[in-house]
Amino acid sequence: MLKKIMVSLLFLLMIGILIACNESETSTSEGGSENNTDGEVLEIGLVGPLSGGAAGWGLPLQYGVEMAIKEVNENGGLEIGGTTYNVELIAYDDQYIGDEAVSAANRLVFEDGVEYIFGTIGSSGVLGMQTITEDNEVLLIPNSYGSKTVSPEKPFTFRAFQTNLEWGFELGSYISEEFPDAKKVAFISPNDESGWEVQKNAEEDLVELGFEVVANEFPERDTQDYNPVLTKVLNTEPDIIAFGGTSPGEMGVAMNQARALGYDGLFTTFAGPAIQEILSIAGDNAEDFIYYAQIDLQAPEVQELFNKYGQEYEEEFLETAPDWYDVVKMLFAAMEETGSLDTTEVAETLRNMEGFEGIAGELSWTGEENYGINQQLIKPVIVGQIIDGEGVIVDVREIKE
Amino acid sequence: MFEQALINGLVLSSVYVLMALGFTMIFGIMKIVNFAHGEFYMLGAFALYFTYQVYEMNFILAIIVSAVLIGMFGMFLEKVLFRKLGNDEMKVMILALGVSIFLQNLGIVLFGATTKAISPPFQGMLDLGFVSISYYNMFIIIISVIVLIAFYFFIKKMKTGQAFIAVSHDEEIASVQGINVKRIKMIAFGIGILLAAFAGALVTPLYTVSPTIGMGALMNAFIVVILGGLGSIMGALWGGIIIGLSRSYLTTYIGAAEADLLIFILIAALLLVKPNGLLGGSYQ
Repeated sequence: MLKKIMVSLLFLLMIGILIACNESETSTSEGGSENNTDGEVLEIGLVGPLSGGAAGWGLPLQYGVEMAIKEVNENGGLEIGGTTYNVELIAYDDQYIGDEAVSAANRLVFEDGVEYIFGTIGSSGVLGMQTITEDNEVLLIPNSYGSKTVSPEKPFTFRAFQTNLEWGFELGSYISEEFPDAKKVAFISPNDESGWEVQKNAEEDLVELGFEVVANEFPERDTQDYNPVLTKVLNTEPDIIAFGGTSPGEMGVAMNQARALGYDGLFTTFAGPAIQEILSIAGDNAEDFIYYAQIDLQAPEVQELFNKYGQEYEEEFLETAPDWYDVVKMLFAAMEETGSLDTTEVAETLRNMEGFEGIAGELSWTGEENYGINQQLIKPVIVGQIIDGEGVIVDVREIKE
Repeated sequence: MFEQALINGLVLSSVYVLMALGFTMIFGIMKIVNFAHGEFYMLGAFALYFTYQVYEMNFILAIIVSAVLIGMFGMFLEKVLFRKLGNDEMKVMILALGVSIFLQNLGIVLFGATTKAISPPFQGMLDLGFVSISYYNMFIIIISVIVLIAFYFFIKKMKTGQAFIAVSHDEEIASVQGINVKRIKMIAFGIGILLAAFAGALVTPLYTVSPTIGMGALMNAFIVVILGGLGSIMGALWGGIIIGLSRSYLTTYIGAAEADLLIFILIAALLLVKPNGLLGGSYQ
């Protein structure tokens, strides 16, 4: 009897592990009846936090890339140098852990033989991945806020999202103009490469705008109890609590705990927001949260994309998916224009692309001034604010280089 | 600020002690380093999410049901998995690691990869002028103290508790005295898991729930138990209080990044003087 139970349990364990493996490694072959079934297959890699506190950033990455691939496959695939390619995605979950991201990059490059990778998110993971991708001439399109991500020594890395080095000053300007009495800022940032980098850049912008930075705290990532940090921070009587790279789940928790300790000021973040996730955790406590919105989700082009491909995904994790969708389309356009899959040639084409019409607006690669090479995506800055429990677009600003 | 740090520290200590108690008890009695302990904390949190948030059960009842259910699941695992490997510590440790990975991934499959939240059942706070404490934080401290007292009486006064101590000292002698060692181990494992699940359920309204929250909880339990002494119940209690208060005061007065660094230095220094922790037995 006991043996039967053991065998049944082991069987269940195996089923569970198989399902779980499938969850952490998603290999998709997208498309409908118009798919090109006779052509070659182009495998694209993806690494990102697809579970845990940063899934609010990782799942939109996966969804956006999948939507773009699906569309391309439905339209017959990619025409590159006379060959038609059907695109497939190989995705790995790094849980927002740098070591896991490096393992995934190793697997993608040396086992799967992939030459193009989207993700990961976060400096520690990206910097680790670059040690593999740059040496092996694999084109990497990540999102991290560290200044070391983009440099002339890393010609195969193109940062897909603007960092606060690009938009931080505009966000600070908005707060300064709309809330002139809010002058004292307390920073809470994760204790890693991303957190220190984001905080440093944000502090420089805010000080230039006349704000006074009254506290700078660096709790570890995955912190769940912010009360000790907040007790110290609130003792400085800040008007604004600014998060520097804290993940959406943790921001929500910190907002709840700050309000419970009596804080009634503003919140802002100098990293990606993931508003729906923050609202689901913090609810009313997230009121007056001011953020860089990435994209106007109500724009007709965005809604059209969601209606076409967004139905199968969780709505709350579609927020930055259109931005990723745009970058994937941009890469595909560069591949077709180059007429080759050679990553050096595609990188050169990509670097020179200007005014690409994406659904998030006109996209170009810039960065010569800040990083020494044009491998940083740039677009207008959209400012959002949580008002009456909803994320509302309150301003759109052009970046002044 | 001093008083507020004390309150914060007591809340942290409460959770650490509950987690560490189960962890150290399982080691003391079964000699298992339960790497899956954090995952049972996670399951407790999810159990509360479903019983209270989704099925709208009474909050107190939901916590009890969550902890008991996961505790029973722990007993089941002990009976069908851990027991089979006997006293081979290495094999059992690897099994615990496997169970941890399995449960975390199962959590992702069953509950989704993303973060969920529960609103505290008691809103508002008690403001005493020099310190303010939310009603829910007060609830956590009080409930933890009640659980600790109940646990103390269970170990000291009840036959099963005494049997725990006997088995932890010497299985063979305990067996000769008529104690059903297998049964005691199963109950001990179940209670250890119940405490982890209870801690997970208790703090969920303050924090968030996701399948990956177990790792952080396990790390905290591990630090507390190493400080207090692996296998020592009183060590878990004092270790939890020391780490909770230290983390709160060091964070408040020095800084969050420095606090963790200093805690690790403190533990390393203490282990140099007392290699088995504050109240751990010495290996001769």
